[in-house]
Amino acid sequence: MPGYASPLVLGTQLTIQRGQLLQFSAQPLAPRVLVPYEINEIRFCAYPSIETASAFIGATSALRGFLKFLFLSGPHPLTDGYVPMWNMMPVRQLTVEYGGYYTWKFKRPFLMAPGQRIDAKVFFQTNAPNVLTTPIVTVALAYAGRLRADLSSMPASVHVPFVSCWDTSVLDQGGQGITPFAGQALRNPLANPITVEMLIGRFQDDTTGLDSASDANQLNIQDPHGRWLVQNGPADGSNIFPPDTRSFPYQGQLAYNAHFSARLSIPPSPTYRPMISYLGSRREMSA
Amino acid sequence: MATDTSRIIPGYGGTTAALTASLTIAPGDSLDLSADALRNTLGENLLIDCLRWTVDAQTQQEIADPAVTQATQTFGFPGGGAEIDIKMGDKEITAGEIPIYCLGRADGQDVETAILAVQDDTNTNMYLGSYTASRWFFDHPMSMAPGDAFICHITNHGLLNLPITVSIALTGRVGPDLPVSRWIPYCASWTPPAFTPSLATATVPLTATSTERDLVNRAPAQLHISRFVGRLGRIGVVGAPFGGNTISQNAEMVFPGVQQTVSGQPTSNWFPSAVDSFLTLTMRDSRANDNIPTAIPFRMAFEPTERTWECAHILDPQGYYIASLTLAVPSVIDASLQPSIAMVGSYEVP
Repeated sequence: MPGYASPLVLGTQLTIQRGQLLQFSAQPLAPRVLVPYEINEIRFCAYPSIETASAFIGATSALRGFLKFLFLSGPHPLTDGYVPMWNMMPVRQLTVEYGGYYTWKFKRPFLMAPGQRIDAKVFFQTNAPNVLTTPIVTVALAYAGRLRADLSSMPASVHVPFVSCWDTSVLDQGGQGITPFAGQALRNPLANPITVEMLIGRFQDDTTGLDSASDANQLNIQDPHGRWLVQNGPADGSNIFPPDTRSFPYQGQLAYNAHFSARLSIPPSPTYRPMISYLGSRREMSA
Repeated sequence: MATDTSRIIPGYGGTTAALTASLTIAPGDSLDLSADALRNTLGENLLIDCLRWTVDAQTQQEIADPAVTQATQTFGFPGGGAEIDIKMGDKEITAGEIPIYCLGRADGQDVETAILAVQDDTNTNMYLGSYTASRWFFDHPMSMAPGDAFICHITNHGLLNLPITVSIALTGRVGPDLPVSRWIPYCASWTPPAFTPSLATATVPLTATSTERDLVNRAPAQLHISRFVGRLGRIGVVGAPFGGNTISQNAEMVFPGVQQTVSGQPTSNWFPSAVDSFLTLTMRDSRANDNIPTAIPFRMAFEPTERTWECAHILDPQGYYIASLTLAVPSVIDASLQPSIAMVGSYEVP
């Protein structure tokens, strides 16, 4: 006889320094249960300021795109490489973002079999600004969902969320300069088609850590069918990614290797690091 | 033929209606609303879909020029200081007294509470006060037959040491042809004794654990829980009424004060340990599920945007949750921390 669904939050945390790449402990991120469970959202919280020891929450004290996450569930990636924390969700409340809290809410629950888990790694951007001598931050991570004792078996396939990002803040690590083209950074690298929900556009000043960056640049984005989403738009993306949401709704499918094309008119500067991502999901065979 | 009440949605007809009542309570007092204050005297079936509340603690303190002098006063969010117990006939809507701001999700930190200034008509001084309001939207509309009444008992815990005026409004629709709902909203909560942060240390943390009688389903049927609410009030704080950098009033904290906690402390104290040693939470239920098996920060369970954990599920009659909170911060500026955890849902009566 099937049981009931029950609430579930799995969480863990670690401390990280600039340039480090760490894996979260897997044990707290997997429930020790014999029933399927679903994850509905991933929550992030990162303290403290990377710029100042200021005691209050403020616009200059959040970690935003400086923390990049990779999520992988068995053979199924949830991220296309390392994706900046703030590129997995639209803006919900700026004050909350200033406090270092972000949440990636899945459009559909990610159902997992007993024993399955989502592994997580985090990378702290090497050139993140910090006026302090010991730039250590604590990063907390939580998966919120439900135990699904009411399911007698797993379905044949499940929805798996996915995010891919063109992150211009990490392409310059070799000092070779940054191409103004996204190339295939916003592609579908998977065999199954991805249903895209929205695009997210964030703009970071790597030198100050502020989330408002300006540049003598123009932003262009085309969808996989060649349609212009924005052409010669302002550098801050305000005409496609309004500051109150930083998101652009998009309904469509990405076939294997299909991609959005993002292009800037000139290479971005250190004070202007666009991070453009798409959010979506695809169906995969369940474990 | 039974009505499928799960299909009743707002906007089904009838005319809009509201029952309202208010009560002023001195600090430490505990009073009943008048038995007829929230009675359906409209003569027709009333479908209630929302309970709105305000708590008003204003016009008790007078300051010559608060905006300039930044005079310090005891002010702030009074939602946690007022508790309410609601019944309708023999049907329990709350499991005992509930902090009133635990009834619903926060509408938004900028609109849920406000510091008000009202000019004295005899001079240029300003009366200051605080005001807070929010709404509890029911998952299913609730029927009130003619003559039915909400019985409310309200307590002012005196956290602000000010009289408060609590106003309750039940809003919905009234009409002869409205369907009859069998759903009853329900809320249970756990409010441990307030933490005194200065007493907690990393080696001897403060811990509070709920019992089987706190976050419990006292309803005679399965409880359809839609969300948990997690509030974190700071009390006993004296601050500048109109803000200031690190000075705050009594408030419901969006975050558990980590940034404020570390104010002025050596960086060696707070860099590595601020989050992981602050207020952490674990939770399990009466079915032996570990709902939060590993201790996580308070706001990782109850998201700061709405202070809720949205999680639809069912709890059996007499089923319960056991929550445990741990505080292990060596020093903070808050005088006292008052967490509250509630579960909100509804049940269907035969």
